[in-house]
Amino acid sequence: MKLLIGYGNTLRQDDGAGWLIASQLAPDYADSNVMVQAAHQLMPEYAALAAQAEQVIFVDASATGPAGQVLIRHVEPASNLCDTHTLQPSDILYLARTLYGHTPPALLVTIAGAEFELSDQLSPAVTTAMPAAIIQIKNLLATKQHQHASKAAVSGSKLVTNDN
Amino acid sequence: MSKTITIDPVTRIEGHGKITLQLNDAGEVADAHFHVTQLRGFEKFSEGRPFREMPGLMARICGICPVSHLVASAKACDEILAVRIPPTAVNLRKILNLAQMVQSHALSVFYLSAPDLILGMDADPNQRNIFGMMAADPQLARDGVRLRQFGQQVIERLSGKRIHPNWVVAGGVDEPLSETARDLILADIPEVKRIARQTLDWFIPLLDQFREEIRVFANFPTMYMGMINPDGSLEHYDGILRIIDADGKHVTDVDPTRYMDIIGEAVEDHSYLKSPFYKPLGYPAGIYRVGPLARLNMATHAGTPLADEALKAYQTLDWKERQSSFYFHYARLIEILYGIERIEELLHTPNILDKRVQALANINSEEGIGISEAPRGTLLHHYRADEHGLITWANLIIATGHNNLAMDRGVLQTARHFVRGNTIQEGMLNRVEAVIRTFDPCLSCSTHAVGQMPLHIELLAPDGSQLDTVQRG
Repeated sequence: MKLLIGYGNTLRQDDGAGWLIASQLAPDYADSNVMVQAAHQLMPEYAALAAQAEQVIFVDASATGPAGQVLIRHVEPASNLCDTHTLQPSDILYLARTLYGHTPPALLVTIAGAEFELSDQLSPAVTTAMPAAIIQIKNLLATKQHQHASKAAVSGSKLVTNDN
Repeated sequence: MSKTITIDPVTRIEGHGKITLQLNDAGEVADAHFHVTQLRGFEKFSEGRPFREMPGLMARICGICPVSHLVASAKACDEILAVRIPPTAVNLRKILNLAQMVQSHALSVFYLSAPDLILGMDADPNQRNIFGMMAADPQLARDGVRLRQFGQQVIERLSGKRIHPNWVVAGGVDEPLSETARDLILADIPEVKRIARQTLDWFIPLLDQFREEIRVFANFPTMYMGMINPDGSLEHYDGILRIIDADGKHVTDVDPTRYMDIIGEAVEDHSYLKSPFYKPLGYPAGIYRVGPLARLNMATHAGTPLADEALKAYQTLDWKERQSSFYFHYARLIEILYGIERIEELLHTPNILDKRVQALANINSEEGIGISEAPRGTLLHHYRADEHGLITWANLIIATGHNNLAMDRGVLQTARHFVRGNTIQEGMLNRVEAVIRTFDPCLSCSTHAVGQMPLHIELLAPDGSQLDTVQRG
């Protein structure tokens, strides 16, 4: 099973991009080996799901970078010693390893936001970037693990792709 | 020279608050307060909204207990429709409300308070967190995760969403329960019931390690309030509103819609959190507590087999000892067990898959009061609407608010016992925060704020000047 977790606050404009992507993708993967979760924020119970997955893809908004920029990074387990309101993908992997003894390979897809005010409307730049981001995520879900690994090896860093 | 200590923000609670400790010339705590520094204002900005929007709007008060607001709000809207909702819808709302309680209690015990319980109040704060706790006792952590996951999954299977579901509506619920969803929930019950029972076996022996905290963590006589069945068993959705006194004796039962007869609301200038009190005794003598501790101190029995056994064991404790807010943790674990058993019972009721789950009507009354037992205690939503169904006035009394007076006094009692001198020791700081955590306050709920979660301890001189401060979170 592959696990996709898109998270963010849809009442804070572009912060909700990850949540919206997961919600849009969920029907497409209803009867597949991909489990799609739309979440307000990451919580420890996602570690239990991650530990059962062959791969995890996190989708989140980013407050840095040119608006609409999509970045894909490998994520490694790490404890950031933060509270349960600010868990990071690396924390989820760390908890999966600590509690369940398994850490799947994981990617973090971020979409750089432009506006984070009190509204449920995405900024024009992120609205424009969403279809391409969804296609990239679908491609990632269709890609086999060793292909991610070889791309990372070629890039020589944890950045796999970098598209605007 | 006297001084004031400020703890800001208080950590591992839901919302943003701070604590101030005023010291006298001898370096002893003379006064202490718990301040809630965020304002949400849902009562005000709901004015003018169509009443049918209220359940969905009120659910946005909180990301931890949206279901509680959804349920209480929908009950108020049922009254505006003046309908009797289908029995199956009542049972489905009860299941949702209990699932919410299971996941919220699991979060409180295992994510927020277990680091203190497992690692100790004086442990290194860099270790005394959820990661340190998980490393120290991974099985307990897995159990906590599983219980919370169960509650969340029940909510999702019933309503389609874990957070902010719109499934509960005025007049009932939006969709019937599917056979598949019922069977999936029932399949998980044996495992989570076993885990819930095991967690009591873990917790009870721990009590001996926390005798000092039990003695001074908001351990004083107060009244207790909550909804209860007439036979004395636990009830979280309906029932009568009961108050008992500090000796456990019955004071009054009222129809929940008559809450204004017995509850007054005071406001202090140091906090956005209202301070409700029992009207006949006035303010602040009318102090009472709500929530799991209150519900268990009032109940004669739970009403489900395993929870009945667990409650019986709890009732062997001396009544005076059960006044300690430290026992909120114990009460939560019993209520998790009860919630799981009761969900199972409700899922086995004959008509639970009935398709008739909503009473359809238009506005028939211009006022509605909805009350339920949320994880943290009695939750009250009271609305008035005009002839078009637009809200003209709203009053919300949230569980955390009911406990405000007791939290404030609890901080003072704990600080007087543990705080000495002019500087803040980590163990002292943590205990003053931990007494607040026993109540599991949800400040986002109770002040109606866009804001940050985390508390601030401030040490003030008698003249009000700041001598020391610790800010965390």
